[in-house]
Amino acid sequence: MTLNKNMRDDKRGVSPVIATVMLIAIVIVMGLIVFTWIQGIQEEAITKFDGQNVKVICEEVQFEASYSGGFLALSNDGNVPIYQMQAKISGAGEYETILLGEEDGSWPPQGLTIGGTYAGSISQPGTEMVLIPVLVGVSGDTEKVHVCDERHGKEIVM
Amino acid sequence: MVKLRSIRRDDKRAISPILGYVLLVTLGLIMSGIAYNYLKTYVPQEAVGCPDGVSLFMKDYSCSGGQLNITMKNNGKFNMAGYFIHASNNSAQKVATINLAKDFINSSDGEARSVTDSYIVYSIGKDNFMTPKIDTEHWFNMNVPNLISVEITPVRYETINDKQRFAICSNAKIKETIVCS
Repeated sequence: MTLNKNMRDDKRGVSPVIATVMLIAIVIVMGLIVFTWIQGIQEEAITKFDGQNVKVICEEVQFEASYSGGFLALSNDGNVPIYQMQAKISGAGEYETILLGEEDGSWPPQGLTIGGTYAGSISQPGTEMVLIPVLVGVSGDTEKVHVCDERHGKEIVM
Repeated sequence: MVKLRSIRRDDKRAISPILGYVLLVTLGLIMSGIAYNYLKTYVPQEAVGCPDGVSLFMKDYSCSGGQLNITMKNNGKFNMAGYFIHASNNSAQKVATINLAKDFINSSDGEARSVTDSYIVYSIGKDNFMTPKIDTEHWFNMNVPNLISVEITPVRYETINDKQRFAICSNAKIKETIVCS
């Protein structure tokens, strides 16, 4: 009771002006933090074809693949250029991820354009291979690559 | 307690309700603008593709003197811009990877040409000039022997969002077995 009475009687405290200034300052600081965070998220968004997120474009990738005797053949049957192709080669209890044609430089430098084909050898041993398309998009003013999800890939028995 | 309430009621200094609303609405607009800018990239737009009635027919072929002659007919409902053509000489490979557009010589009507050695087109600009119901013979140099199959995929220019987009018609892709030694 004494404490309550003292608090009621005590007129000293943060003046309304200081409180308002503090409130505004806190709001500005919080706003800046949120703005920086949102900007960070926006920078991460890689877009392609008139501002479409590259993750959505991954759904439109279409390609055909065939493997025989250490030799892989690919054709880009969709309307999305494939910049690179990642191959996840699985063996007995292990897997290795490679970029197709990186070792011998056989991958076309401009990527697998619409209607383009690729033929190359795979030296890595394995029993199964998942081919995952890698696309290139724009983030801000720079070009960035995006590896599509494995669900957009194609499984090949080796 | 009574005194404190009295102070609160009497104290008129605070952000006015109008200013409060303005701030609230502004904040809401800014936040929704940021969210819209980010989420709009996830909205799928009209996909590039060909109409269902696109169809190309390989009427016949002949191989002689190191040359492959293919007679083609646009037997679909729509004009085409041209086609991709690949061949295979390996029966174990399901995908044909030998690009015959590199070895294109000419067509019987003299209007087709190879673009960047990757596909054959019937247009100079972004138009679809390969009209239906006309047979044309297309001649290719056969630089790779023992061809066993050819894959031909039509292409069209499609107007999407007022822009001419090059589209491959993979739904109209044809694969034909040939014997060219």
